[in-house]
Amino acid sequence: MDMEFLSSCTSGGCGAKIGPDDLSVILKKLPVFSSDQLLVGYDTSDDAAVYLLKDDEAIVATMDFFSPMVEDPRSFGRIAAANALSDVYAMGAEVLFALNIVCFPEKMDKSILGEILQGGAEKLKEAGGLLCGGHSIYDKEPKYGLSVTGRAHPKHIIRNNTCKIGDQLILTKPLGVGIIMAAHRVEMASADAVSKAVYSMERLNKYAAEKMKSYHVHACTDITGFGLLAHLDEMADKTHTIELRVKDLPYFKEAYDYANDYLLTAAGQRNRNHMKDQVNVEELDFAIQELLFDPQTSGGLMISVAKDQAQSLLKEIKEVEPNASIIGEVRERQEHSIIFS
Amino acid sequence: MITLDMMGKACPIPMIETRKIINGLNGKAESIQVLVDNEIACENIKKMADGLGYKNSHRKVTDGQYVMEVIVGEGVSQGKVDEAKEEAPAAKKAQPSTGEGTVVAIGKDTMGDGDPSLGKILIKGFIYSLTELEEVPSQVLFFNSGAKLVCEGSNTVEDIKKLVELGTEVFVCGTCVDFYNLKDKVAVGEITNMYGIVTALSKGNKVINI
Repeated sequence: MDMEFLSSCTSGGCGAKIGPDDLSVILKKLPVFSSDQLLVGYDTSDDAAVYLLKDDEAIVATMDFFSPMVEDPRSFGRIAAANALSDVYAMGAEVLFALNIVCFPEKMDKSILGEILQGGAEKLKEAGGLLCGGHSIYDKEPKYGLSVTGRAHPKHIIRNNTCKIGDQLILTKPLGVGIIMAAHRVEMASADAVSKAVYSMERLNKYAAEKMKSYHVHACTDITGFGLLAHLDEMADKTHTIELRVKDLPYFKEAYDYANDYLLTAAGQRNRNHMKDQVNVEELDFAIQELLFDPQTSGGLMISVAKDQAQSLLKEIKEVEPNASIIGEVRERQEHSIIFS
Repeated sequence: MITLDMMGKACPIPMIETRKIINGLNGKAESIQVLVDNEIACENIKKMADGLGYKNSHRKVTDGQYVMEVIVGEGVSQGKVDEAKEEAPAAKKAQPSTGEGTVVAIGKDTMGDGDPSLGKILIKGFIYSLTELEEVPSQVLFFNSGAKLVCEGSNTVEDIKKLVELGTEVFVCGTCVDFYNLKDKVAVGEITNMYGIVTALSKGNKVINI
């Protein structure tokens, strides 16, 4: 296995995100920008910013980049692009165009960079967006991502914290890619597990998002390096409690096994520490706990939809994401934002 | 006391290296001090140590330096063998290069009697170690639940493929894959029948039964 591409990286993919605890302290100190045009800013930790242009049109802006979590540079490019584009889909918007964000070591073979950019361009093409520029600098380790601009009707924007009591929550991709890639780094993951994880990370959330359009989706977000529970907590927004049905969670079986062998990431533990006051996971099986905290690079969408529409939407989503599952329900606020059943 | 310097190493490497040292103790009591550069690494090692029943604690030395201490009691690590790599040197010693014509017969998807999850770890380590032998077995036979090891979803498939690359003939019992409904899942090896199994066993210079 050629690990040179990875060797200099302390933590790849969304696992490299700055911890939510560290981040929120800093963000709180920034001045609050407000405008009638700014429909969604960073104050609600939503997936993307939304700016109203005119009554029937808003632009959606987001960016994401990270260091490699797979050895194949083209695959890394695809994953980084799919991950960056995902925020636009999670807002219920369509992709317009994107700019490349590139950091690359001066001494590394430039054909590797070519492969990364090819992979990213492939995904942007698949998304139906235009690649129209970018910025690149030298850095100690490679990093890649996109700054993406999308468009939506202001009334069709789907926020991450507007779920309603009784809603069912659909998760579209299996959990566990962080654990599988951690096991892979120490050469303890099976080739089959790695290829399933890579496929999942490269997969655009576009297809699941398209299915949402004909339903009354109340809230949606994509699962990131913060892990499933942090996103459920955001969705509950201190006003609701989410009941998670553990037996219905989609996850990679291998990730469950590797978690039981303690092949875990630093980001997963940071996520656990961050959530310790919001949720009590002690009663759950250890490997399940780890899956709930596992950092997801290019994770699936989590969709909150009215109960009477949930089965029908799930059926449609399963046509494109066969592992999708209804994982829980929105309830009246209780002591904790997440409970398990 | 053993000191392990894991400064600058990303998770899960500090946990794995700590576990390897524990396994190498073979039941001897020891205190292991692991130096890491962040508290998260301590917490990840703690999950392993707690899970396997070792006393542990950690403390901050300076900014960017933490010490994780894991105490392994007398006899505690008996049977707690990690996967794969650490077993290889021992296997080499036990199997000098006279392995020509060695046949390994694997009739279970675990190794030894006892806790099945440990048995699964051991069988994976065993098969990996076969790939590390200076002379790999001439044939490896899989039957009964051992047949599961050559099928998709088993963490042993890659190592068995490596054995094939290294020249080992791998056979799996057809009756067994039928019985377990795994016929479409066989990822490595050739299907054989009882005659094939008996022939291989009777011709081997040395037969190892697992």
